[in-house]
Amino acid sequence: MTNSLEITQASKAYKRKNQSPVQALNKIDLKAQSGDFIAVLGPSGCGKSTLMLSAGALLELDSGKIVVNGQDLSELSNSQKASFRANNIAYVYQEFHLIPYLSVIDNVRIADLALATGSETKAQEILQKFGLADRLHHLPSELSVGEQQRVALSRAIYSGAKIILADEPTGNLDAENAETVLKALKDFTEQGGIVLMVTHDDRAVAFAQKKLTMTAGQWSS
Amino acid sequence: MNLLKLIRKEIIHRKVNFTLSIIAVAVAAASWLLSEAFLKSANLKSEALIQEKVDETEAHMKKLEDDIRKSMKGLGFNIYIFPEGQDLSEVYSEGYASKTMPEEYVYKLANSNIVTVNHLLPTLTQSLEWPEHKRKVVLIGIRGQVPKSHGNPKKPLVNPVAENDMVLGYELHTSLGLKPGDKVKFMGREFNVSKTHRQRGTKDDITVWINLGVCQQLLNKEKRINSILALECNCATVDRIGEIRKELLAILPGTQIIEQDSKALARAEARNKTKETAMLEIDSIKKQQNELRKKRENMVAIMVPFVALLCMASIALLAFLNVKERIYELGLLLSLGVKTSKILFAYLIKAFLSAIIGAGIGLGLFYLSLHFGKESFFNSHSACELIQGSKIILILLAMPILAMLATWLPALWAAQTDPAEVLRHD
Repeated sequence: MTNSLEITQASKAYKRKNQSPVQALNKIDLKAQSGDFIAVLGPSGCGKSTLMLSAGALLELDSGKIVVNGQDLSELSNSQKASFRANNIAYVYQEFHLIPYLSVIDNVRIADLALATGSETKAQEILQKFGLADRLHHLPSELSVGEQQRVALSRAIYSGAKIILADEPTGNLDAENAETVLKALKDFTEQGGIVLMVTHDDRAVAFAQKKLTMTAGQWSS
Repeated sequence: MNLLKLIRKEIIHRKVNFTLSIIAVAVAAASWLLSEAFLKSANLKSEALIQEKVDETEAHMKKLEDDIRKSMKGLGFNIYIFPEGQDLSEVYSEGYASKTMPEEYVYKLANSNIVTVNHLLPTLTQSLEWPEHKRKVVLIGIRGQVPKSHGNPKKPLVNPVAENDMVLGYELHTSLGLKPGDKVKFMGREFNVSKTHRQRGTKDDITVWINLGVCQQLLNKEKRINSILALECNCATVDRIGEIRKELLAILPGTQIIEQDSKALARAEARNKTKETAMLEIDSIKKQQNELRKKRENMVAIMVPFVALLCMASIALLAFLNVKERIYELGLLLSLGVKTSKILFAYLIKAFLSAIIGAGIGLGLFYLSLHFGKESFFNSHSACELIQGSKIILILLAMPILAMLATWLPALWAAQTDPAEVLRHD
């Protein structure tokens, strides 16, 4: 199946009390399809995170359209967006956001709460691929930073997402771990997925085939 | 991975928060049950106290009535019989009846089969002026006792006054300087002073006693009397007047019967007074106990809801703290596509679990308190006496409901977490 992500004239402003609104996205356009690994660069506050959240159906645009795999996100109710997200979109965060009281395998399988299907075997296979086969029952606090990010990545892949939105995925990682994560993301795109990655990391940029720079809510390159 | 597993693991991870919720519910449940038990125990005790007092009074009154009955049987009492149509208020104010009745009434009584009256004393009494000495006196004509023809003869209590004799009260004989043996004129007729009385402090001190026949002549009331004094009447029952009246009215219809003050009467009045006092005391105790009961009930009515509210507030606060602590976790779950209803459900289920466990522990605490404090605090009443099974079931049902209600707002807050907002500021 061919995956696609299409952002058309997307605008989003954050209203502030007694102050003028902050224009986070200003008529942004983006097109991505299966195999695309896009790096989004830009200074802090330029709208990168807003772009990621909007693309992941977590934030509503003021204007414009986001179509994922043919589905216009603005046509979905909150409940439908949740289901859509569960089956199509996954996030990888800089801070990993693992649940501290769940083991590695349970953290990966947390997606089962939203998914209709899931299996222990599938989770184990993914974790094995990321070299975490012997850490299945460890808690996040017992893992290294790199291992934690690999668990987060495993969770994203386990969910069966077609699009991974990665927000500074290598921000807290050393070179070796960063490379492991980036290679995994690359593999994901080579298998037909789309990766939209926000980053400041030159190592990460090197893995992406498309680089876009954002300034004040608009593409500058 | 399922929701129940997530809930279980979260409870284990945040056991302090969960334990505090359980404790809040346990304290509320135990307080509720203990308040009810204290109240019931106190109420049972006051009921027992009142009943004890009532039983004590009844036994005492029964004994008193038996005593009165026995003493009255031996003692007897005195009654006056007055003519038909006599206004008794006149008798009370003047001291004698203004109307008269035939003297033969007394013989009728004496010759009848009447058993309730014994010594019969006919009299004719009138207040008038002693013309020879220009002073007010009470003139009483007496015959002496008329003996009953039936029943056991009784020794006479009052001696008659001879035809030409006169008996004088203290005030009269001292002021006129008369003594037994002196001759004196009264309404033109000469009398011999046969006896003088000592000071009595009553109308007797200005009374002149003469023979009934002579009195009737002097007053122009031949064969008439205005009262019959019946002395030492005996009655088997306590309602002696009723019994006597019944017997007398059968023989002398229309006459009026009143009881003269007597020891038996005084004793009966004392008994009635004692009963009255005892009943007043019982009423006072009942009133006091009811007031105390109301105060206790009011206290419980305030305390129980207060404790319940406190418990709910504690649970709500703990739930809010939990949500705050888990905000990023909630944001993550929602970003993964977990439905808001599941988040809500997770919090409510946790509240339900903590409440069921807490209620069970509260129940255990209650029974322990009852066991160890039975003598000191619960007047030795058993659990069955103090708390109904339905109350326990009510608490086991109410606690989870209250806990879920208390958790509702925090759960709603959790479910409505905006993952974008949470994750954007991370």
